[in-house]
Amino acid sequence: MGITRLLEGNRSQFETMVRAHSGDLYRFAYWLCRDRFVAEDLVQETYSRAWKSWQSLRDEKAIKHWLFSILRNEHARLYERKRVEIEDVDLEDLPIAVESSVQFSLEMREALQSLPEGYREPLLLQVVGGFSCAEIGQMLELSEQVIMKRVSRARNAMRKLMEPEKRSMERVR
Amino acid sequence: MNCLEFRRQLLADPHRPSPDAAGHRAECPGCAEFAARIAEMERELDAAARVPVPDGLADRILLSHRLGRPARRTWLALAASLVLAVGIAFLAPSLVGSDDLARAAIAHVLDDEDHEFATAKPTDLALRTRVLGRLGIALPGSLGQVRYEGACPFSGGTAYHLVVDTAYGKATLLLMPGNPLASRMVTSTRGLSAVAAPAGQGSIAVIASSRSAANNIERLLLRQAL
Repeated sequence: MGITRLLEGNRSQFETMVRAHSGDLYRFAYWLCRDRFVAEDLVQETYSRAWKSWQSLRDEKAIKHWLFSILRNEHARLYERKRVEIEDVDLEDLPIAVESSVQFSLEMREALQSLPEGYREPLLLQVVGGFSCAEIGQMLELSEQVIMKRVSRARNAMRKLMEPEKRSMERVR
Repeated sequence: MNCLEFRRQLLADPHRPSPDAAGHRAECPGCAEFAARIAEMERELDAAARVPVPDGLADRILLSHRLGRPARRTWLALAASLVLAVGIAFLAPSLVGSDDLARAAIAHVLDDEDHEFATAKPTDLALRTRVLGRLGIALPGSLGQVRYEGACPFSGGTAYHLVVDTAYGKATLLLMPGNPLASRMVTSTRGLSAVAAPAGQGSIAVIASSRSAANNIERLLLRQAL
């Protein structure tokens, strides 16, 4: 295969990758930095770096994992990361059903934004990225068990944060 | 598997239940109900996490890639403007359709507004205040009389929807605190005109009977920027 055709093939694959994953990468970036302009820059930079290493990519199935990892590294380069303290919560506390409504979505977004980074990041990798606890563990260089605990606690924390809003909405109804 | 282990697994990853968990759910009504509640919370969480993606993001990434330039939003905005201005459409053909949000706003008014009126809930002034605060705007008294207001699903997120009798005729305002927009856009279709513009942490859209009416109402709103 000539170098031109090879390059065209790579570019076609690259375009497919951009169209397939840029939305989820942007959403993840937004929740990391909570600034839409910085988030877009992070996604741009992620793809720029991905293209530079494109030839070395061997496992196409790992593309999404690879892109999210690049984005995390880019974010880390921009911001000094802070260690967060994880608060233990009782796993036997059962989440309560919530009523779907658009107002509730706004409140849910605020609650998600207020989660400590140590909770929010693995939860978002699961919700937005669709990754398993084992895959998230590889990305964050933590064990699968630690990730399982963190996302469980994140969900419990969301429930606790949303309870007053839910009660308030029930009063309105 | 006992109930505690089932719930522990479900909280850790509701989307990948193990075979044991599926079996336990089938046998335990309490855990089946718990799983249904978790699934509902997960749908809300998923909707909240999926913030709107800026229009044309993939196109801008590909444009940057084709031009071989560093990826910085401000530079790209200039490049994209220049590309459009000189008509080199082949470089970024889909950027031409960047009035999507304004078109969607018109479609929303024509197709969904009646349904919203029919299912209206009591006005939540606290929510309105929060939305306006995030957008950095206020509703001026000169805007006119508000006939309807309420939150609604729009463009993959949530908008605060107002219908106002203005000096320029009936107008709809869509306030989108979670839907950032890179640049202002104007369009006319299906007998209505719409302006969509960045505002604070999100964007607004004004839908009216003419472009001049939409522009004037937009100016009234943004003049009140806090």
